[in-house]
Amino acid sequence: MSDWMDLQLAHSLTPVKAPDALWSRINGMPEPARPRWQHSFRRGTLSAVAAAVLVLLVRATAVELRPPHDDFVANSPVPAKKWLAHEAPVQKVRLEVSSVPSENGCKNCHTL
Amino acid sequence: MTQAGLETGERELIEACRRGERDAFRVLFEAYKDKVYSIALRFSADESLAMDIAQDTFLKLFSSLPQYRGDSAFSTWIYRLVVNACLDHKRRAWRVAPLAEGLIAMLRSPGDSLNALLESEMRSRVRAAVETLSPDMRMVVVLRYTEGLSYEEIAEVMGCSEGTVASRLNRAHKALERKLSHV
Repeated sequence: MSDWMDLQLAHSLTPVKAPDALWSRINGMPEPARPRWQHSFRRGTLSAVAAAVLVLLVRATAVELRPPHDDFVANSPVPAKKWLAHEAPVQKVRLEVSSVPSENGCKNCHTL
Repeated sequence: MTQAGLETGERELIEACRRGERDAFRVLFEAYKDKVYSIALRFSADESLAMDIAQDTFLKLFSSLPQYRGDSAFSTWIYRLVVNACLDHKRRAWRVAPLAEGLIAMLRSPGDSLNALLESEMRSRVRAAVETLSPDMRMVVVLRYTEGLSYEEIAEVMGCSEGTVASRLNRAHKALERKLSHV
């Protein structure tokens, strides 16, 4: 290995300064990729939030769709009359339900 | 460079880059831009290609920082990235070597003395001769003469033995001497 060659190579292959345009080119590129664990963490968080929102929506919808709560249930008009008299201060109540055969009831048990 | 591990400042800088802090990227870029660009330019002998290689190197650097475990010196890791980028560019596309580069440089500076012109001409011829070397030999020459790395450091960067580095460098010298013997 000659000294002359060594010298020529050292003179010819000197380091150079990078052009300023290099940063502009790199800076113009998209954001550097985030580490994969950050991606999965963010994706996992979003999934959990989405799942929670979905559960809340389903529960809210179920509540909306549920039939209204019965204030009073009875299988004959007598307790119904008593309940109405107690809850709403009315004394004269006429029940018009399909199970009642006529306006006056069956006269035995459903007369109001 | 061979000392594994990082200095505190550099470690903090890398951590900041991992957190995605843009300013930290800029500091890291400023610290290594000349090294990266010099290797790219001396290897490719083309300014435009060198810019592409340097850009690819830094993008790869920023995106793969989380994978850097500190097993080797950070500078060794960067050298590996730029060496790979150079060799990748070499494989992907080839170009007509601008052999007249030196002549153009000479014409741009008409006020130079004859001696300076001759020196400039010689540098152009040496660079042109370096360009004809195989990529592996050329990279060893560039790392040795542009960056001043030791055989041990070159071996670490290129993933080969010191003996291989010495052999490549020796063969490169002989080839260059043959090419430049008529000068």
